[in-house]
Amino acid sequence: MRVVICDDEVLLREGLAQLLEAAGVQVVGLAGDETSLLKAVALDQPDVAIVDIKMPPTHTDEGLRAALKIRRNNAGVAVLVLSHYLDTRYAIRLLEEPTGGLGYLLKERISHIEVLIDTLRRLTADECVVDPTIVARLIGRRRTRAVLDQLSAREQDVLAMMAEGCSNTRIAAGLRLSPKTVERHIGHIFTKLHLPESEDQHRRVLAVLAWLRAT
Amino acid sequence: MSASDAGTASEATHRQERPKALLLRWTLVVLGGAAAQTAASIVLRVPGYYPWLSTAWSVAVVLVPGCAILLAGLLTGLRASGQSRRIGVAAVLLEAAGVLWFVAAWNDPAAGAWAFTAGRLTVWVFPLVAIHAALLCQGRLHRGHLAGLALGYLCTCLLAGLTVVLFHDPSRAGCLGCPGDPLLVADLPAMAGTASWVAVWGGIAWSATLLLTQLDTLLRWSPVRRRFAAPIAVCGIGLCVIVSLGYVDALMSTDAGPAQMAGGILPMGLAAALTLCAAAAAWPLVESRLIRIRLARLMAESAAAPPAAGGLTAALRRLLADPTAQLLYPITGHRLIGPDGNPADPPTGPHPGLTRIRRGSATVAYLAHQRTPLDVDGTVLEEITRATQLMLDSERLRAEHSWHLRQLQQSRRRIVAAADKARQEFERDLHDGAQQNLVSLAMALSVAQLRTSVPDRADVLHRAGSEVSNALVELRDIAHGIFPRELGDDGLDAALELLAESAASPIAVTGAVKQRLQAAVESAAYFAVRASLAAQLAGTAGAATISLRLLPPWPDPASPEWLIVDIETDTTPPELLAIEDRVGALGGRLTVRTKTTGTHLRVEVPCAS
Repeated sequence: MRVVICDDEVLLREGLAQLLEAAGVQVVGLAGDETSLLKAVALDQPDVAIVDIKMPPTHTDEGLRAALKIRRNNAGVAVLVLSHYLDTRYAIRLLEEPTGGLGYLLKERISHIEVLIDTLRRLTADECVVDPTIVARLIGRRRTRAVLDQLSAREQDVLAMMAEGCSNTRIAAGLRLSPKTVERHIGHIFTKLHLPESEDQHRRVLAVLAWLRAT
Repeated sequence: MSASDAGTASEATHRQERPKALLLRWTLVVLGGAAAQTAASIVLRVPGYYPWLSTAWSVAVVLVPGCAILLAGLLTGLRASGQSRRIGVAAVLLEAAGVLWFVAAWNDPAAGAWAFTAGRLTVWVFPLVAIHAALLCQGRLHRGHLAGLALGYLCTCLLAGLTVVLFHDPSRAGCLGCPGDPLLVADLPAMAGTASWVAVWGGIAWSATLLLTQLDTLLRWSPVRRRFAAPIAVCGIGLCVIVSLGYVDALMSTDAGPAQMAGGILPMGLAAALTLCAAAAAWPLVESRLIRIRLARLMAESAAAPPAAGGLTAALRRLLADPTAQLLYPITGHRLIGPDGNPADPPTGPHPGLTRIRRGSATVAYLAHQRTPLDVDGTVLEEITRATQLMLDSERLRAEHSWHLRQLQQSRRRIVAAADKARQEFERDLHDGAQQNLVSLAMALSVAQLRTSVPDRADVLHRAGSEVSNALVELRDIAHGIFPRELGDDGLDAALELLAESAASPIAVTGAVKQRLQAAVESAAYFAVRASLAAQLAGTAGAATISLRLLPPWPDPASPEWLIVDIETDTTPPELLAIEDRVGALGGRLTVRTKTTGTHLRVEVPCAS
């Protein structure tokens, strides 16, 4: 796997590169800001670009915007956004993108290398990955909303894992259900959220989004 | 301008007149009486002194203007009481003009040799002295005034008066019944003729100069000043016009000579102008009287209902008929404040005056005003300050009170702002320093874990990594608690939304401000909400609701006046005093209503500082 790392802190950039190399990931480029990141992505065509959300000049959401730009312009490059901040709005902006291959992880996950590697692998498989803490927060945020009452507890669990970007097989494994049961739950979720059956392959993302947006 | 600079301010204190000036003025009054008596006897002795008037009227025409102007001089001197040197000189000149008017009336051959000569000497001078006095009464002399007066004295005293008397004897020039000239040095009719010719042309020149300067001065005056000094200024102009007409008349008459002045209609005009001049010079006395009447009325009114803040200033403006009058109170640090407690500067109008109002050795207030009226009569101001002492004290205390309150409010606001800034910096330091280092440490541990081949060691490293990860989570919570980054970056709506979703108990947020407000306002509202809902955040209470709105409502005006946050909770927040302090520092307020179902808190914060 080939990755490009972008972080304005040299220490973190180099540390992450060292860590990924040690784990067998090939780091093909390092960048400190958006311009050099876009250049590195265009030049090296990595599998994943790992981007710190906080970048110059304003240190707010430049990383996120760069991620969306890369995702739109380079179909083959997945993007993982790293952040110190537990800010659900950033995650929602990623999820609103009608494409997979986008991830949002909190920085403390880096200490679990297996999680990081797993995330990178899922991203290259065009899945959406959102940090479990963020997902918990997002789900907690909608607890009071009316739409919640329509879903059973089990359906909520399924949707939570869907929001994390898990595939049906993974959900089935995680919840100790048969894949068929999971499919049935997802069907119910789609019905309850008024998502008609269509050729749209991103109905799963829409389900998560519709649910998050519902009031 | 600070209070310490106000050293030039005049003071409402009474100074004693110097005895020499007093002696001079009383001497002039006595002289005037004697001269009047002589003039009256001459008019009575000469049939047809004024050919078209009866003897009684002639006496009146001679006596009334002279007496009037003598009296005006006397009163002006008494009222000025050494308040202003200029007014003192004006008083002397007014009296001198009166004496000279009577002496000029001796200008009749029947008066006798010495009296006739004295009359010839002074007949040209007295209008100039009267004009000089009027100019001094109205204000400071300008360069044009000085030039006109200098030329005037040269022409009237030296040429038309002294030269003619010394070198021209009318009895030898065919004047039947004229007495001999006792001062005659040599009879040189040609020279005297030339001198009077020059004096007449000079007379036209100086009267025109004074007239033009006077008109120019009048136009430059402020409306207030014009109103006060208009009577005397107009009289000065009238005198100048009549005098210049007299000189033109003398020029036109075939037998050009000074004696012609006495004939014709002009003496009547002069008499009238002089009488008016006397009345105008006495006008400030009338004005003082009016002020006293208004002062008495104000006292009666204020006894019925004390004036509101600034009411005393308004009353003083009415009293002095000066719309620019302003009361200023000194405050610590040599600064001045207005009646409303706001810092104020004395007005810098065209003729600003600043009068110090003292009590004992302390200056309690300054009265900024147009200088003219109070200069004329210093005692008026003294009476005003004495009469309004209680009102002045009450207004001063109120002004100082509101000034101190404002200082206190600003200081509270600064303290809160400084604390917020410190929180923000602390949060940034935690993020940029400790958090980054911990992430580096976590990565280093992971690398070590990957590289070791000893399973036990890998396990320990993995656990260490997990601890670092936990530390990072806790550090993030602490940093967020110190100052939430989204509050500074994205504003109140975003911060409250994230606060609500992070709570363990459900918190519903309705309404939004949909715009950025001042940082202090956003922080006050945010921390008030967080302190109120501490139980919900920890999950030890039931659901709560937050409602946000702006007054006037969005999106009506671009600048809202109030941010109103309503908080409904089923517990009683413990930190109400802290919320109150924070909100109060911005001039807002916290209202708490306890209900059976819980507590309703309303936080109101003014959006503009």
